[in-house]
Amino acid sequence: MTNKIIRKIGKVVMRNKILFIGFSVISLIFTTTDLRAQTATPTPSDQPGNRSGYTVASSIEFGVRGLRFDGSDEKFRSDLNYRPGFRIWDSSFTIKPVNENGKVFDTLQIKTSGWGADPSGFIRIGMDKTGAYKFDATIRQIKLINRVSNLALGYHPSNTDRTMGDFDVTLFPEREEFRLRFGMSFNKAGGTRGSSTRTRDVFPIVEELNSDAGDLRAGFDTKLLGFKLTLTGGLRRFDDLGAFFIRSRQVGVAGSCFFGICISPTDVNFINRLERRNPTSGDTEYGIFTINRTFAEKLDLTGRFIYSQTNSKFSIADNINYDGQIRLPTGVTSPALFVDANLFDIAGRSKRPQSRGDIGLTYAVTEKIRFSNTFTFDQFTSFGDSNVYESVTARVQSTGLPYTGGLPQPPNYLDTRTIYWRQHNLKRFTNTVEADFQVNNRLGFSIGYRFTHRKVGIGLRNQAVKDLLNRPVAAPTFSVDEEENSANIFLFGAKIKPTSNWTIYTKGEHGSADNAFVRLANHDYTNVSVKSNLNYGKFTFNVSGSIRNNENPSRTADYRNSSGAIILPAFDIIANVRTRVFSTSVDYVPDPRWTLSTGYTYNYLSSKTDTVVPLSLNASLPPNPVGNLGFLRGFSEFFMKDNYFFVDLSGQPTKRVSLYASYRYNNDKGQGSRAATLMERFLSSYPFKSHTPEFRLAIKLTRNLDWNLGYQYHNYNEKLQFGYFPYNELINTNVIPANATYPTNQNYRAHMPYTSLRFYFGGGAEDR
Amino acid sequence: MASNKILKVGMLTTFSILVLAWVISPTFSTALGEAVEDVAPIPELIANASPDDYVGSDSCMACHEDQFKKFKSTKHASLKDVPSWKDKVQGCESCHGPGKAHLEDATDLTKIISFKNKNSKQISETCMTCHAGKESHNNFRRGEHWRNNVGCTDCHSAHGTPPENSGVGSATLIGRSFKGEPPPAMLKSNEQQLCIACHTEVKSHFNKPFRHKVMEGAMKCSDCHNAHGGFESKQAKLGIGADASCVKCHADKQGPFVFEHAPMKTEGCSACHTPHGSANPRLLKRPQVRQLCIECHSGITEQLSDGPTGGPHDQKTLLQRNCTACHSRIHGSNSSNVFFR
Repeated sequence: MTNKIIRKIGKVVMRNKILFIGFSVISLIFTTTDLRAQTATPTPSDQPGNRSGYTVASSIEFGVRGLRFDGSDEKFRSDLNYRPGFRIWDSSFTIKPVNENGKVFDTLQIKTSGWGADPSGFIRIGMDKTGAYKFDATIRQIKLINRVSNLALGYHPSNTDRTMGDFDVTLFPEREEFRLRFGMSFNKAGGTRGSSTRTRDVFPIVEELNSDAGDLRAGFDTKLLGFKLTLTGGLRRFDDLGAFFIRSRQVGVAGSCFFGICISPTDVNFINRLERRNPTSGDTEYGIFTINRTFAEKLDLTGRFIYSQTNSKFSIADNINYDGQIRLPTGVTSPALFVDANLFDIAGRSKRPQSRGDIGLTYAVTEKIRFSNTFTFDQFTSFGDSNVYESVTARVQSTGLPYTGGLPQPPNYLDTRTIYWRQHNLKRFTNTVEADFQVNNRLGFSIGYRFTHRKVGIGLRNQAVKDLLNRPVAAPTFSVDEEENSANIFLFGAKIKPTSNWTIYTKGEHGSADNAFVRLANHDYTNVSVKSNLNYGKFTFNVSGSIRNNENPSRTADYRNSSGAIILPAFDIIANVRTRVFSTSVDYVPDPRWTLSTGYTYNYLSSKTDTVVPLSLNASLPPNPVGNLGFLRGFSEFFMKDNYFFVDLSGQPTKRVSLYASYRYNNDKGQGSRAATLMERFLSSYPFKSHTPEFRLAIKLTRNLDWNLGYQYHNYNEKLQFGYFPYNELINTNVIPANATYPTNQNYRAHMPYTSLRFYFGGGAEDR
Repeated sequence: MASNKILKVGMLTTFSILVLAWVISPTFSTALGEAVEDVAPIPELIANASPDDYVGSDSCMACHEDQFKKFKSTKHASLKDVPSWKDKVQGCESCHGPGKAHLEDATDLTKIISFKNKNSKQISETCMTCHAGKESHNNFRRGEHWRNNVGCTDCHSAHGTPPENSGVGSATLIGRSFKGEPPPAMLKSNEQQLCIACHTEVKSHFNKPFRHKVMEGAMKCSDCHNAHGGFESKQAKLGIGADASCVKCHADKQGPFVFEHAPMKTEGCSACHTPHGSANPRLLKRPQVRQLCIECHSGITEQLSDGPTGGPHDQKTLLQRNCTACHSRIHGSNSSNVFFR
């Protein structure tokens, strides 16, 4: 990892061209040969794939993909990361006993897709025997690359692999009286990813990811006195052995230049070496109990109780060697130093017990009228402590002598120790009452009311044990912040069926959200959505729209300068987010051999929030609380205007030929022609456009073999430009430098032809 | 101005009521096509039936051969081999009721339970007779699908899904057609396509540059959502105990941390992330992290003394526009109360 922004605009000529052409030629020869021999192909036996009383049906598709590419390889790999070469597209294997009941299993099915070839792939296994067991397994592998340079200064790229597996077995799955369930999961993550660390300045660092988690669970379902009960217990453990490094001399962000803009060429800091070991391990124990019964086909009762506790322990060992200054607790900054070792030794633990209970009751007064009440209670407490020890061994650059911060020697190092305690707790209950009326088969509607009450508390205690300069330690500081609030939401929903082939769904919510923690105030919102589904002959029309308005109010504190004088008095602020979604689609199925599906979706989002803009009183210097600071009330806006269009066509013009064609188009116009022309206005968006056509032709060569030929094209264009961002790019100047190139558009075009053969084995072929 | 607004709201409400009244009136149905008939209440055939009224599924085969052929290979049909179901009604009659009267007079549809003219809730009640009680199904009667009259047979095929035709699809995305065996759980189609057929607006999210690999097949909607309802908002699934399903895979975000970014656990991951798709590689709700942060932290410039340049958080600057460049451990930290390390 370096601090350079990865910006490779290059051209990747089609790789594996020889392989691609070779495979195509072989496929063509195969095609020609096979078509000629077709009439002479012997008829398979009456029961193809029948082996020892089992029927096997399977298929596998493999072939080769080419890639001709130009533009930003980094962005292409971040978005899609399809690579050229030989690959197995997917495979399916099913085995069943001929007489429907096998000794070991009734069905065994294995499916894979993209495994080992695409950046994401899976293997799914399903196996069951009626009356005995049911087994499901899913293993997934996802490789993620992120080399987007326009975000987080390009400091946070990643190249990680994740492998996840879930295995579940149910014994006696059809037995209502007693079922047993066992399961396990694992989750591994590895690779490298960029992060950053702040010590005097901000530096990009490399994280070597090494995370491992797994859980075991067991439970049973039973029926007792008419109640259906389930109980599940589980244990999860997780280990994170992440380590962070700077291995070569690295300049801090203040001295760096991004996209032609240098932040502060005079304020240069370096880290020569950094090594951070941050092992964390922990476990979660949990239990879930559920109960369900329907009384006299009138009253449905469902209850759930969950208890879990997560424990975590950690240590952090930091060893940093750098050139620079230290800011002492006195507020005084040291002279320029060679910091030979800045050591952090941190250890601690945390835990979070949580309990949650839910009870739902639904009473059917008549066939057409139902009342429901759902009550939920949730509470948790997170608390932890962190014991932080820091020592600094440094030499004064100008003299070469050990730096002691003015302390008599020995020691020739400075150290400090602080212990932190934190607690964060939540208690929340929610009650929802709903009435549901099915007036007739044309109209059903529901109305409801949800009440939420919540109490959030954050407590902290900081205790200095050892002062850096050996002064008497300060008394521990305590702080407790508790907030309590209630929210009310009104709910409405309706389903209208004007004719047998037309259905309209609508629902709405209005009130105060119970999920706006951060301002500890209610978050007013209105959501309305309507969906319409009309089947007219061979057409199906879908139209939907939704409107969502969120208003998140708050109030600032007074803005003061370093001497405590109020520069800008506190004022009310609000964040206003508006979302509009309109979506429509049409499906046309003239006959079973042809389907056409097309649609359009418009996503609009605007976010506008008040903010405060610091100003330099002396424009030739950066804003500084000491004598050079003013404030201006401003606002910040973000816009998304995304148009999405798709069309998919699949058909079978002849018995032997199937085709598929699709086109996907995204155009986010962002903020359009708006520009940030005022000092106090921040304006941003992320406009981009993408086209993705795809075509595929499948020719059935024999009952057992298909030849596929296809082509995918991905075109991605960002439209980021200067006017789309706050025009004041630099600290201390309103002038865009002539050499500024920020932001960098990471565009690409990728042509991906492919050809493949799909073989069908066993009984699956006979139905084709 | 206020009176104008009241007038507009009043007119809109009146218009909506009139449209609604017209839509549910018989004249509307006449104008647009065949109306849906009101169904008779579910017959009490089952309640009043004696054991002799049940004739077995084989009796249905003579007339309903196609359905029987498909049904024969389903789990529903194989219950006959399960010891615990020996004394229970199985096969066609477990849903359609006793068949003897229907066999004697096939023209009288009141003598058999037919689902053709039943609404989704009525159909689902039949399914719930057996399928309620599992943790995943318990809340169906209070779920979004129930509320909107989306019933079991809108997604599942009780008679069994026929093997897919020979249609081809995308080389990289999950299509409607499936190869080989039908999807599990007697679903009518591949799960991803089944869901977005109604949730069309979500389809566009999965075409964003960064997304969870759902349409690629590596994930399914049901990895995060419970289509059968649930106590959680958006019918989301819980992951480990009471934790969000996200942390099942993103274990390093699970915590608890000594210093937690409070909304992470209190509000859930979707306070900041849009899991279906985004232009941001971290699936943030706003592609530029600055806007997302200040929607809550509008007052960040109050912090005068601790900016990296010694000044306040000046969002005009390149560095301080990228909040996570410094606050890199934004989910939580064990050593920094401002999530630096």
